[in-house]
Amino acid sequence: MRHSGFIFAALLGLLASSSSFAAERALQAAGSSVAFVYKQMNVPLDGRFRKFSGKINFDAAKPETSSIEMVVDVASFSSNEDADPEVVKPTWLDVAGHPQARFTSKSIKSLGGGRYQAAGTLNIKGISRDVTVPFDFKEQGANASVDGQFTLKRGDYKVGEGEWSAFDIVANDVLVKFHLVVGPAAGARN
Amino acid sequence: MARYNGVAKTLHWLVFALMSCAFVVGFYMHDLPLSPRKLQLVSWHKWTGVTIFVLVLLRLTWRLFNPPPAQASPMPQWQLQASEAMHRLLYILMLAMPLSGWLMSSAKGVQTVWFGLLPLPDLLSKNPPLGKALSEVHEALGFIILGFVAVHVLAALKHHFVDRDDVLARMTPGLKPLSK
Repeated sequence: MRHSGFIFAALLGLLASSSSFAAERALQAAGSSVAFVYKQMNVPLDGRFRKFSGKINFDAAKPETSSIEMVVDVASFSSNEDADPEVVKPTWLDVAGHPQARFTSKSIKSLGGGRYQAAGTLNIKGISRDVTVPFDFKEQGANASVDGQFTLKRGDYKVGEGEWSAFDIVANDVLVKFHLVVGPAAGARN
Repeated sequence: MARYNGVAKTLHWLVFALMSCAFVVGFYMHDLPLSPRKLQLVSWHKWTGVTIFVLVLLRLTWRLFNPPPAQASPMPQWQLQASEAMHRLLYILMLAMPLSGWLMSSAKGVQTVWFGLLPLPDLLSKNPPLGKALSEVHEALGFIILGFVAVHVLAALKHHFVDRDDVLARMTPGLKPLSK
């Protein structure tokens, strides 16, 4: 009897603790985008990843209980006809060796005014770096939008090796811009 | 001998030098595999093209207010007409060539930034098939220009060395007509 009482209490505790985590809000492919801008001899060039998925557990009222994980299918890279066939190669994104890029949040905090900041790990080409990603979160009817941008250094992830590792022609900075549409909170009563 | 004025001569030879560079670089870079060197050459080629475009507009403006000296050397009417038509055509081509490159870059989604400093507005929105078609136009114009410049040069040399008139000398600093 004492044991079953203990298990019951533990289950209650588990329930209580799980409800303190933000509920998942399903990422909707339609309307969402992960795009980027890089510079080649000061010429801004843009592109995007067509395929990505994510697990977004977000509660605007309790950002500290929230978490975001984004997985980008690297092979879905699309920029321009000159870059596209080149970028899949091992010297650039090495699509065969590292098909996914991943962002995993460690902590999320509010910056006020609907603005938040996720600190986490960005893994590209098998190399992990700490990054902070500011974003806006806006409820839009039942859905919500997550918008933000941050700059990464391609050299940190060995994106562009060998003759491409200098930054005089293709700049080190890559601006990543995302617009994510997420559905209603799972299990939300509305 | 009535020569072209200094500004007209300077612009003529400067544009000739830049056109030569743009042609040689354009022809050479075309089949290079993608590399930082190629991207650098492409940028230089574009900057040269924009510079030529601006200089040709300057030439036309200058010419408008400073008409070329009247043709002094006697020559048949058909040659005068041919020369007039050739010069008009060369001006049209000198503007069409950089313009086609600019349109092509716009359609390819690669903006032109003059000397890496001054971004030119994109004339077309990104459209890869159109970009490919325009690159064919740009290439064809290159060979058309080469052909007409060759005729222009040969005509000038023929006037200088065969007719021994002042046609080449009046555009060339320091050059005198050969004695007949």
